Amino acid sequence: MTTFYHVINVILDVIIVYAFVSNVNYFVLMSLGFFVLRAQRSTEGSVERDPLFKSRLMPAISIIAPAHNEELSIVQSTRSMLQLEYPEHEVIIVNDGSTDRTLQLLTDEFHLFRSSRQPLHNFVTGPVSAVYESQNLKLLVIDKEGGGKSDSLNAAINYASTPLVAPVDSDSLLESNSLLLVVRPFLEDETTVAVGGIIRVVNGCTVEHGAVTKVAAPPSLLTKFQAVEYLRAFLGGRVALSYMNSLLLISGAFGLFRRDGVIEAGGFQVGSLAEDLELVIRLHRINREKKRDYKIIFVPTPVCWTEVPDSRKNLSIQRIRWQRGGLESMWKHRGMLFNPKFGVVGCFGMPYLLLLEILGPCVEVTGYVITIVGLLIGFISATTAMLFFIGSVLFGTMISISAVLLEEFTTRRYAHPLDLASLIWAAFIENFGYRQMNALWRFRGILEVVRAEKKRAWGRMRRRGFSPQTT
Amino acid sequence: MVGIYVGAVYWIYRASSGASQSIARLLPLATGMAVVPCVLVIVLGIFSMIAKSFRYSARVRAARISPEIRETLASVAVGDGDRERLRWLARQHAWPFEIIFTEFLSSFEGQINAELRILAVEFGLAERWSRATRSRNFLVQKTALANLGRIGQAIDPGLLAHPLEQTRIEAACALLASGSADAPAQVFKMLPDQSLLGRILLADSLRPFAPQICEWYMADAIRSSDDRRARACVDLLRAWERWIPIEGFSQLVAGRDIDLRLAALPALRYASTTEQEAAYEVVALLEFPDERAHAEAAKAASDLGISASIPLLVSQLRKSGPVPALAAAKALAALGSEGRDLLENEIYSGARPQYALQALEQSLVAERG
Repeated sequence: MTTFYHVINVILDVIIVYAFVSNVNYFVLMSLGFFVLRAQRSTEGSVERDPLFKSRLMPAISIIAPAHNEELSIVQSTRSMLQLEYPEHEVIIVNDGSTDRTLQLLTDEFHLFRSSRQPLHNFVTGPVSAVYESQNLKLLVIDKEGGGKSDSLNAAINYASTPLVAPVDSDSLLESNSLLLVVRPFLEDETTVAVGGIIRVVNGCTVEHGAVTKVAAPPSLLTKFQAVEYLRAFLGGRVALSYMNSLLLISGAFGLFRRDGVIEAGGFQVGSLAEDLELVIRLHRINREKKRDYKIIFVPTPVCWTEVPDSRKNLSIQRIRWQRGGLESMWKHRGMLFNPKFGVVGCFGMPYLLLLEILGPCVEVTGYVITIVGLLIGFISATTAMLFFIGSVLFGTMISISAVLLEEFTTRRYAHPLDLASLIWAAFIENFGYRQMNALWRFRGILEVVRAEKKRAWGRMRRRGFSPQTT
Repeated sequence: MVGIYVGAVYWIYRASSGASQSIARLLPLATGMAVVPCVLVIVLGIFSMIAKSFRYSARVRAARISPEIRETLASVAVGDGDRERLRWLARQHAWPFEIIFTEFLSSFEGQINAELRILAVEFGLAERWSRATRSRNFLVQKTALANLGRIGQAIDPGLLAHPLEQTRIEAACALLASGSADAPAQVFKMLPDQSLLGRILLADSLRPFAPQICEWYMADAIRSSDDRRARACVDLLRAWERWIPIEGFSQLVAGRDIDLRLAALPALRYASTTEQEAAYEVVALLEFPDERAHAEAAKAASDLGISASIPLLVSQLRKSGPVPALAAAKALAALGSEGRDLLENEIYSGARPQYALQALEQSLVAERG
């Protein structure tokens, strides 16, 4: 019995040390993020738009957006993409085997004609049935057999003719100045190979004519929790990781890449559940192996608004998918882990992602199980269990509220004090149920990878679309 | 601070250590270490909410007083308003007053602008902006520089060599706006050391001085052995999109690095003195052994309407990779009936009918559009 106690004690100590180290790490990254954001706040987005918007020196951009059964939002989001402020950009929508009216709606709304446009690159993709172009707008629609998101993105890159490509989700909304802002690191430093913008939660905001006109906190608790999570991930983690040039994830919902760089890397990996993460890791790998100066950057000013799941079922599907994708990408590039050849990416970025982000749920779930079982059997006292829970809540609260404060001290997108109050409240109460639920979903994702369960080509949730009122 | 932190952690550790004697020995220590920053963050959160509420009500107050400031300022600027009332508004509501004053400065020219310049000095705004150019907050610094430029006040020349590029650019723009006689020359000299972003912004501010710069400085700068300097000039010409011929422009760039020559291609239409001069460089690049050059030169041939390039374009359409082949097809489609006839022949009998078809189709759609 003494040995049993000893083993449990060691496991609990490991969990506590892990929780402490991971939370301190988050807190340090968030503090670093705070200083970086404060320094950037005044210069990011401060450039007058007009000279950039008029200039012939701006590199052209192709926005590439895969669409699979997006009839609810495709017309509005395409119009929003076409209306973005930028001197020269084209929009390439890939209709990836939709079974609804996605293609029909696009054809009718934008007066598309069947075009003889040819691919300029030769990534192998699913068969393209037809290519359509708009007569008056810079819009290209590629109709192809269903092959998944990566396959669609590769097909779009084949047809893109511009030096920069911006993969976006066709069900998201970009702010009108987002391209002018996201391109800035490419103008400032020619070694930049990829830039990511921030993803914000559109639920609760007012959307009119494909643009967010009033920013507000999401209405339901579940969506508020996700708003806090997005702030934590983007303003805390990614700002600091970008500062250290070890940013491993540029969200598939909005990023900007050098087309040549993506082609050199071999495009998006077909079949991956986290094609965005996998591509960025590959870009790091190639540039480090070739000993090039390069930068992969996150900028917090260009905003992409996305609708987050408002039901537990959809959210669980999304989280399981992310977890599986993360673990698979990490496994594929395991040779980079703790490998000094890959510099700060191999020695900090990758271990951080694996140990704290991807394997975190295993440790968390183990802690819950031991505490509950220990409480039931009687080898852990109620006071100890309570202390364990309080410690976990305190750390969680500290990190989440810090993320909301980071938003308030830097970007300040939520204008009303009540929005801030409701987000701080959500940052506190997410520790009572939501966090545990999330850990369980992510743990399930890990189990699915271990059991090699079948993947879905498109892990999409049911969307409501952007109606012209509060979303 | 560290002492208070350690003391607080120890106090919580002692208070909770009795709860977990035999199991999870580290728990009280971890709890102690979590409580203190958590309390700190919660206090910060409360403070932020209070601060936000103050800012919110300040915005509401500013929105309420703004119409009166606007109206009084407009009346005073046209010469029949209550100056004392305006002075009181400027003192009591400094924040909205400065915003509205800046809006007015950038919106009005002539007599109203002259009156605003006097008011800026009289109300102490000029002095405040002068001080603000040394601010560490870039937004404050930027606004101050822009306003000083608008009211024609002197700009500290040291700011043109500031370590932050954005500050250098804003200072340069303000210097140009202030009307200083040697400003164009000073700003032109800065160009090679700026990023592309800086060059785009400076090109826009230098646009009114384009003829003067081309006449006095451009040829020497392009001729210089410094590729960065020559590249900055080429970027300027491309950004301005104004027809300002520079004697021997094509010859000046012809012998240079290929990247510079390719960058100069779109500028040929603005800077070449004769069509033959431009055509010579385009044809030379169509024959250059680099597919990048072929694609760019084909585009230039189409923009400049160089029919002498047709045989080279046909060869490029048949033999080159997809990008230059398509560029060649598009150029042929833009070069009148001769080019189009050749494309039609390619569609029926050529080796690359797909590019010819795409170019003809796009040309027809553009014509109809």
